[in-house]
Amino acid sequence: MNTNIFLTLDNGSSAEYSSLACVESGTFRSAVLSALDGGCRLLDLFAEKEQDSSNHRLVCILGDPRTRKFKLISTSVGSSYHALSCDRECFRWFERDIAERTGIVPEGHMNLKPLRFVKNSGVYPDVWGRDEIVPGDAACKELGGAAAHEVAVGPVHAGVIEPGHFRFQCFGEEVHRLEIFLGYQYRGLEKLLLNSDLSCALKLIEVSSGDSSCAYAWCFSQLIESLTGKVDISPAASALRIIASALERIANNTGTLGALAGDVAFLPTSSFCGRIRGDYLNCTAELIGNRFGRGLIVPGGTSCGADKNRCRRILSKLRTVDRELEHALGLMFDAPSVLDRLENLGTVSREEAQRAGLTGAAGRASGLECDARHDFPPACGSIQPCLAGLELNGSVLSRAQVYRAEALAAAMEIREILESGIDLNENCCVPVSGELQKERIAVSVIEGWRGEIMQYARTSGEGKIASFRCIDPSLHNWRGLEIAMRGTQISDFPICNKSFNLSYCGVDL
Amino acid sequence: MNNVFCPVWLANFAAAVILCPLLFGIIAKVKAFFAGRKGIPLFQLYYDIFKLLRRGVIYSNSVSIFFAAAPCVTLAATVVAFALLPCQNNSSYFAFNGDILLFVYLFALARAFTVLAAMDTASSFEGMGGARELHFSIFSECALMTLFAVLCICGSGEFSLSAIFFAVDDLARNSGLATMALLLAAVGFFIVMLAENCRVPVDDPETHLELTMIHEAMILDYSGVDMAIIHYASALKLWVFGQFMVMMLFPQLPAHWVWAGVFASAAAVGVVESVTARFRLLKVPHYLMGAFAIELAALALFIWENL
Repeated sequence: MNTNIFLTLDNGSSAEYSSLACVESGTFRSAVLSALDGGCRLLDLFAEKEQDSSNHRLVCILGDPRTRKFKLISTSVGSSYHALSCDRECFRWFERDIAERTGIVPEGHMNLKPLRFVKNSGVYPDVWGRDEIVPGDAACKELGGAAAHEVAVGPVHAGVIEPGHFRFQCFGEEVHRLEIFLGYQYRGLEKLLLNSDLSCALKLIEVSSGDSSCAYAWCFSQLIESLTGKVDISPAASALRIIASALERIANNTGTLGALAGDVAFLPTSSFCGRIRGDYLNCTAELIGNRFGRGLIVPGGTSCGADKNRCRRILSKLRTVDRELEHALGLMFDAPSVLDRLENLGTVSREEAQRAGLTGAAGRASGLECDARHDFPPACGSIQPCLAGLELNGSVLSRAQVYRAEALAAAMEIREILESGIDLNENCCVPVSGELQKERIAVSVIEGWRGEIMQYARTSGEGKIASFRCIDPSLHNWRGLEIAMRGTQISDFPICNKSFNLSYCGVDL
Repeated sequence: MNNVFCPVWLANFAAAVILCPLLFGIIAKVKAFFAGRKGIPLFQLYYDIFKLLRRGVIYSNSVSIFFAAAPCVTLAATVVAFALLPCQNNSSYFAFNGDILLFVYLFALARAFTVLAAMDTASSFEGMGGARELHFSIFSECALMTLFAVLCICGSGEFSLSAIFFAVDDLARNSGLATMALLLAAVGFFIVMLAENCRVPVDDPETHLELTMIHEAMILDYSGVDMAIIHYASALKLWVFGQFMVMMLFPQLPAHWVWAGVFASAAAVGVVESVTARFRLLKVPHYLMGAFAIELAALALFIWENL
């Protein structure tokens, strides 16, 4: 197979739009499938309108961890095409998205239903022939028989949980099948971004999934930097970006583990983690004045530096909190009752994870070696995998162990940077010109705490963003939750769900 | 049996009725202590009950009389069961031969009504809660009835709680083996007590996750006065179980020490909740069968003693 038909891109670099090959659909299909067989990961599949015509182009973005490059390929499509998800499960949610947005039918799709419950662009009729669009209104495969019953949960939940609808087909207490309906928080983010100026777009990106603000801002900044041309990020700004996203990772992993402890009614860790998470958020606030690090990472570097005093304050605080975190998590992972509750629960095997295209922490817990920090290192800095020695089988316990190991590794990483004595106040912000290069495309990937966040942009002839894609790792991983629940007790759903801790609004966008 | 109203028994009855909501306050305080928090006020359940009593009740259009009746039946059953317990040397005014069976099945009656009311709402959560409740009650009944066999044997053939506790006292004073057997029986009873009162590790009264709930799931649709009655009845039930355990171990204890014992048993529940995680539901029957096995061992010890 000729692999040169792919356009290859580095993380944080851009290319002429014209260099993206538009191949014949059969070639497209076989090239994409054989690349996936060869170890590439699916990052995105979408349909975008051709300039100056109503035809659509199907674009597939793959990541090749061996060469550490992205591979892009496209083909033009009519009103339907042979679904890629017939051969690879990982395309399912992406093809639902295509069908919903454009009305292009992926023929042979296993379970074609809307993803976000929005109107399509109007070129083709609605795939499901809906007149009125109501979130959650979609057919669901039902289990027959007198002993089967259906349980519907959400979209309004008890507690502080985002809206999502879960439909379980149960046989007694055992879940036969789970279907997840999202889209209740659709804001049309990608469209909003096209009409925004740079600073406003950054604000929107930071809240697209609010618990990953730093990673999103980093990803977007890198995207803009690559579209404006060569921008050298200073070492101080690189270090600050790493610190901010590491703090974000620790805070979220701590929160997840605390909530997991709460869900199994293990009080000590649950209470400790709630407080410790706040301490880490406060460390982020010490950097920028916002507990989620909003406004810190901007195209060109960071919006402010950190002087010696501030670094010293953060470091001394971290020394205490890191120790407390280790202790609090130790309690949980040493308690036999907790281990018994979590192990061999909601297991996603390596093969299933591979097929479904799981990513990030959940993928690693199933034994996949996927880590964008390692596979697609950002323009600044890479990190070594930290999961050596863990026996991971894709269970809830494995995911919890991954969160724990990564939180502790991130804590080490921050302290190493701060203790190295690097001046974090020097040259942090190189302002980028607002002018984007014309007719270019760029892909940017950053590993957030959940997994890889991917953003893609194409600029128009006027140097404006003409097309934008933003993929949260949750879009890959929700399918993992559906798989994990097969044959699991329905009472274990909250724990399985928490162990993935996926973003609802990150999918809804 | 001379059934007379005795002041100590009446005082005990009054104390339980007034003080039982305090038990949940004690559990919460113990848990807060372990979590390093201040915790909710000791009297929180009183405040909650008063708040709920001032509110109206909302019924779904689809429910029948069962739904409205269940809280009252639960409370009535619990009060009557409690009235069968003796205190110190005073047998209950209502004691009769065979009241031990009534004692157990009054709680079963309350459970039956709660489950029926839950099914009445036709909510899938409540249906699941009811199914789980009935499933687990089979196993706790096994353990509980074996315990009563132990007590009846030690009460030399008496079938009244009051008579049994007098006999228990005699027996415990005279035989080391019997004391051991009683201790064993009390451990088994504590396990059943956690399950019957919907505490960790069987159920989690504080969870907001409907899918994992057992008892809480069945009362999701209640509001206002009904909710107050349910809260109060469950506090009283915890008191009944606490007092039962204390009296099994120390039948002659003066009334105010019994109250202290009940508070201590609530504290013990709090400690258990603070240091263990909840079982997965499939493990609950194993856990209750463990209690059954412990009671069987106690029974064997007694039979050995009496051979």
